[in-house]
Amino acid sequence: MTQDRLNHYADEPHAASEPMPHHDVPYMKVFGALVVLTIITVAIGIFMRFENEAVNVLLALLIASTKASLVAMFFMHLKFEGKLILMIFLVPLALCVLLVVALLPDLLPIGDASLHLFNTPRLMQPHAEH
Amino acid sequence: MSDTIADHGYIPEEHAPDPVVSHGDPTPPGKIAIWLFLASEIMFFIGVLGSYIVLRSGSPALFSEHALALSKPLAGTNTIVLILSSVTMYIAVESAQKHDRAKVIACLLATILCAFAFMGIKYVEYMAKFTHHTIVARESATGPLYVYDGHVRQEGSTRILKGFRVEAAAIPELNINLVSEETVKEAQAKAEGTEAAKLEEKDYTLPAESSISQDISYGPWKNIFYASYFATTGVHAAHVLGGIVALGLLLAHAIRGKVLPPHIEYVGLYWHFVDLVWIFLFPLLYLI
Repeated sequence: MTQDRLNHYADEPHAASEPMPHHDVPYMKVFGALVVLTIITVAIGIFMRFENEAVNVLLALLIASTKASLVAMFFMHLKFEGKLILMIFLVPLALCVLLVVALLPDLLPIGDASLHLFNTPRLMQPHAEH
Repeated sequence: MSDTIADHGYIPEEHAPDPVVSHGDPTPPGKIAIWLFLASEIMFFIGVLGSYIVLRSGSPALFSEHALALSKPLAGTNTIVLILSSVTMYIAVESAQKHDRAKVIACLLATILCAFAFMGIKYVEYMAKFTHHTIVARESATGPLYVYDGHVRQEGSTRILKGFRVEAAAIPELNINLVSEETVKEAQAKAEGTEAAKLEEKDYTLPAESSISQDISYGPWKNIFYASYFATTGVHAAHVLGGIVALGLLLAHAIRGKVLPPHIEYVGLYWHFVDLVWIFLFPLLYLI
């Protein structure tokens, strides 16, 4: 980026470039909450393992999502943004969920019969055409 | 009118019709651009995480066994360091809007230092993996075949391995790609008739190169857990490096007297996003 271009931005006169309207964000509180949540998730990871692996995963993801929401809402100012920015952020998140859901057939055990059909080449199945 | 299409071949931004502003939304185009970039980054990381999910679901035991060998204290410290850098970045953005140049410089500097601290800890973690070896070797031509697992260092012309050792026969279906230090330790404890928890790491002088039949370090080639670990943390570390470059440019401009509030805000959004990705990587790789 050239110096000219940077000067151009810095001196830009119109109000539309006012970076963000001021909001009082309790960022030290958010920082405290993030640190506490980090310590909790590490403590759970070391001392409080559950027999059921799914519980461990869901618990860790729940805490991570809470932390991520705090960062997005306060540090990234999403809480104070308009619909446009919110949509730009939320649509890819929905696509992420879609992608993970599309992986589910690979993750979950499916019934023997359906597995058999999936894994057996068509020609080897009984009564295959040809 | 000096700035015309005829003069420059483009429409200067201040004269160009602004599709967003003209619809009554005060969101600056630059901010929309950085958010769209972050949207593409979200899709990039879900692609990487998607392959992690599939690989993990294929070998859950391998993943949980090898994840134990990663350092939770180091990664936890790194998490706090990144969160702290997000706070200093936030204050930098706020100070830039108040045109408090001294505070902007201080906060950008603090953010960059945190980024370097993160990369430093990452380097220590990576080195601990690259010096960690699983080795199959004989001490003498007629002696038994041993499996060694531990950290290798060079002392003069000899290589010393600090870790554990057991006869290869004690580990059924030995595969140096899949075996972990924990497995070797447990097998050694069993062979010596003690408990694994009481077994201490010992220094073993490794036999000459010609007596070593297999040797692998804990790099991405070790197994799919380490492939996933290095791929995910590697692309994240690359983003941290990119952030350091962007922050460094902003800092250089601020020191030369030019505080750029919109740019600092946009780099700030990117920086918080890098923090956000780590918030998910940390539990996925280290804790579960």
